[in-house]
Amino acid sequence: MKALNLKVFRDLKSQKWQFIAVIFLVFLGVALYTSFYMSYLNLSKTYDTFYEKTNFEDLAVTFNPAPEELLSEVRKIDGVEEVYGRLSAYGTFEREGNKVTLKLLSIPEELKVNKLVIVDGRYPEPGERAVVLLKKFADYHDIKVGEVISVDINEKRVSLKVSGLAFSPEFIWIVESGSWITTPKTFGIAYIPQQTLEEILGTAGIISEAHITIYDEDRVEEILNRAKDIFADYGIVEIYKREDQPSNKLVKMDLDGFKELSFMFPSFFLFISALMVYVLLSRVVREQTGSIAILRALGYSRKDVLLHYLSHSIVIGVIGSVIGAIGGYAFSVLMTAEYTKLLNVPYYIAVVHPDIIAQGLAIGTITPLLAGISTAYAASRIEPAIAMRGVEVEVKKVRVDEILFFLKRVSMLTRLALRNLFRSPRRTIYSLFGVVASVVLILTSMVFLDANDFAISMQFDKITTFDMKITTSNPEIYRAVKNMPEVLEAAPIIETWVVIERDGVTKSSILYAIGHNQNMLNIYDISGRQRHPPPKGIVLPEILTSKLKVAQGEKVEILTEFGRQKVIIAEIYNQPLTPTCYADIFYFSKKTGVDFNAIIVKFKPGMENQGKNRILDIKGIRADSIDDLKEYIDELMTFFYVFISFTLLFGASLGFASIFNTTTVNILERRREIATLRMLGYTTKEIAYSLLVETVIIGIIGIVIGVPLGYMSAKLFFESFQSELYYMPFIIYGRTYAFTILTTFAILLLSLLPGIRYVSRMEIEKVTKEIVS
Amino acid sequence: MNELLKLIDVWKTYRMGAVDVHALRGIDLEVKSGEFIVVLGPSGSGKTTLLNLVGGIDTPTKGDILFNSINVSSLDEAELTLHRRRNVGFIFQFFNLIPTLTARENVLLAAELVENPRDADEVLEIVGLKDRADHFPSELSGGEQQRVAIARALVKSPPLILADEPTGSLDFETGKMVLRVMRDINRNEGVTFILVTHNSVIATMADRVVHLRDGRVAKIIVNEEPAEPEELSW
Repeated sequence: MKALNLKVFRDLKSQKWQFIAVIFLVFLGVALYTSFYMSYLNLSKTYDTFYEKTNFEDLAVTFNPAPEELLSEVRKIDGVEEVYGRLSAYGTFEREGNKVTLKLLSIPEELKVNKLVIVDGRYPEPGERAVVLLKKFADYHDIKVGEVISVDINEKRVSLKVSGLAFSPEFIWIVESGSWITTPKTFGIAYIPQQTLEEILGTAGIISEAHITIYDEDRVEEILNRAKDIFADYGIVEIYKREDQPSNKLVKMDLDGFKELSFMFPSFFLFISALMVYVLLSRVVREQTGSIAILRALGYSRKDVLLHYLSHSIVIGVIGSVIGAIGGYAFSVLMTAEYTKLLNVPYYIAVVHPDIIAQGLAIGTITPLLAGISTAYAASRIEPAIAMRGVEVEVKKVRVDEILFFLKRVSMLTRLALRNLFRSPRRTIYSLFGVVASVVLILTSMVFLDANDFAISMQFDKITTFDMKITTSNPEIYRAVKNMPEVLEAAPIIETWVVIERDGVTKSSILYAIGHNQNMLNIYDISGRQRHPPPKGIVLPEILTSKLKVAQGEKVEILTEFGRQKVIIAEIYNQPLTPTCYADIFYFSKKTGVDFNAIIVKFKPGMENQGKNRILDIKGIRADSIDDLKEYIDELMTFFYVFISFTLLFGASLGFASIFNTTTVNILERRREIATLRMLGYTTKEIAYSLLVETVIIGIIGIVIGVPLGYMSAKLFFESFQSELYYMPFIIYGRTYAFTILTTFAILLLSLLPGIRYVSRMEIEKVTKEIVS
Repeated sequence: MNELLKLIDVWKTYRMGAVDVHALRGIDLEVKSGEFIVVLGPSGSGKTTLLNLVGGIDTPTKGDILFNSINVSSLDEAELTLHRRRNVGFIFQFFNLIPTLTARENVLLAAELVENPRDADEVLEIVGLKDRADHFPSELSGGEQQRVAIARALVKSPPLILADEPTGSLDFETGKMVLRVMRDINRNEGVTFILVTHNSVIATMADRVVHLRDGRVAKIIVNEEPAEPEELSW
């Protein structure tokens, strides 16, 4: 190796911990970028291939039972490729003492749309009393292929053999329109031959859903409208395009999150790594002024010197990026695998994306290179003759303690700390950047925890305080439920999807029509104030009205599963969590002619389990338990908590690496002064105090700047996640500020320890020699 | 004059890789309070090592160093710090002033270490820098910086000031001026000085000259009539 190249590695070795800290940040920056972006691409590819392989629907229409023959009319629509018509019914079965609801979906002899990927067993024969269950649901209940389950459907107990376990593109997330995600503990999907379900239900040639694929995407709206018209006479229950398909909508929302994170996090780390490269390289050049002069005197050109010092940046960038890209790939595989474990997908695709790896390597190498250019250039401009004589380092003479009169009374050691802040203002500012970035990352991560806690508390302690929701429109069931000894309160509600149309713009949401005299399903506005449904008209969330450009008092046309109605917009306000439309149940009943289609129930304290089981005994209904849902949400949250822990750790590492570097560089540069202080009789503790004052001041300023910045960044980040599907109010709890501040100080103190250790271990005799020599 | 310092068979051995290097080999020396001692010797003779041991920034491998009858060689790190704080003032070849503090503040930095320090302005006046008290080191000449260093050493009222090549970085005239200040303090304040140098001319202003060679005291010469700094020439 050429001597000059060898020197690069020796330089790096001489300050190995500082360089390792910068390399670590480059590594994190590149690893986060490549891992998040590749995870985004891998997940997209996973979903896309799954959708392609299974011929996932482009649009769907759900309607009240209609003749199957109408499907042939749908097939005739120009642009339609395939149509899958089906019937659905609810059933329940018992598993380990728990009632489990099954949604049975009929399948033809051969599925051509929303095909099932059978991973165990087989597709059932026509007319066979058999079902295909979703794999994860079966696994959850330990149901094996060949097992027979007894399902109660329409007051009939039917024995159904499990012929296979499968994955469906419709249920990557098991969610239905106008409803929450469901837990496999109490809800599952079963595919049953059409003929078998007809036999059980006693119907023939009737369907209630049409799932359609098309070959001409430009005509999707037209095809949807024509399909809707075909079933309109029977009453449309629901219509959606692929992008609005409930499971797919959630999947896409998650994907957007991955994409966003792949830019936000890495930019923090790479920015701070650039500042650190500048600080470190400046110190190397300053210390080596004499060596540079010698190199120049020996005959090395300015270009040689420039390239020599740029090599330091390149080595940092290349090492950090290569490890980062490898780590990023590994993380992306891990992240894709772990994330897809939460979902109902049969496989995941985790491939190397050479373009993303190349981008990561380029970003990771170019960032330190750019950061090092000005310093390397300055090194190349050093005049040998001047450098040989030694360059006096100019010290900024800012007397901050004299500007701030109250500081005049502080000890010289404290003043020294204050002056040192202004000694190398650029370095102090860079330290500040590190602290600020760290505060922003910690605060933003914590805000997600706050949001999650707020959402859970808002949803389950305020908005929905009922224990169970029963999907039924049977008044007898309502009366029976109301009179159950375990039931404290029961109230009918109307729950429907709703499409609001204005000047060709349509927005979909959920509508709840609720009574005044119940407090189990409550309306809250964004400020946390409880509202009540207006006696006339509907309440719309602001997020929808702003997009539809409609105002309070205006009439709009809404489409629900009960047909089209013209309604007045009685009130508009922002709502937390899922933006929902509300109406008074009497008003909406009058409009639609439907008394109710669901019942919400609250049990007497201590009688929840008995009540739940008694309700699940009712035949032909679907009942969702809030407790089971909460339990499932907690399970899903594990991934989220792991993710937040990592971002907190990354934020802490960022602050540590940044302060560690500037502190140690400061100490190394001032070692003569520190030795002098020790010779004058100052103890290590007193010198540590001075360093602490300096660091704490940077910490305080960093927090003062970082907290509002973190607030703004979290708010912006939050807003970018807001959608018509979910509106999260921006809430920061006091604990988050306290945690951010305390953690930042803890990081600062921790990053100071190596420097203090250096001061305490400073061999005074050696340092003296250095000073005296 | 009372005995301030006594070195009894002081050895200092450094381990350099596999080799033991004897920096000092059995030094015996007595220093009386108020003396102006010059330690003279070529490079590597052990001058700085001797100064470091007396100043309590290093400990001897063998032997005793008694300062006012207290054995400095048996003190622990904390006690050595106190010894430096109360008993010793240092003057360095490269001044070692804190660049972010003014002349007065550099002096105050040392003053704050002791209970009853001298007035910073008073000691700056003694070294002739009263008018330059508010200047930063970078605004002072080499001689002025060294005089600030002397004031910094003096402000703690230490009985002993150790100076390691104090004129090494100064020109001839400035060097003499600094030596004048040191001699005046020695005479007027009764502060004991041990000055280490390889410049034999400076030795003529000492009360006693200790010649070191290969870590041993080669000879001690008593100057019956020490020269005044202005008379020196090199």
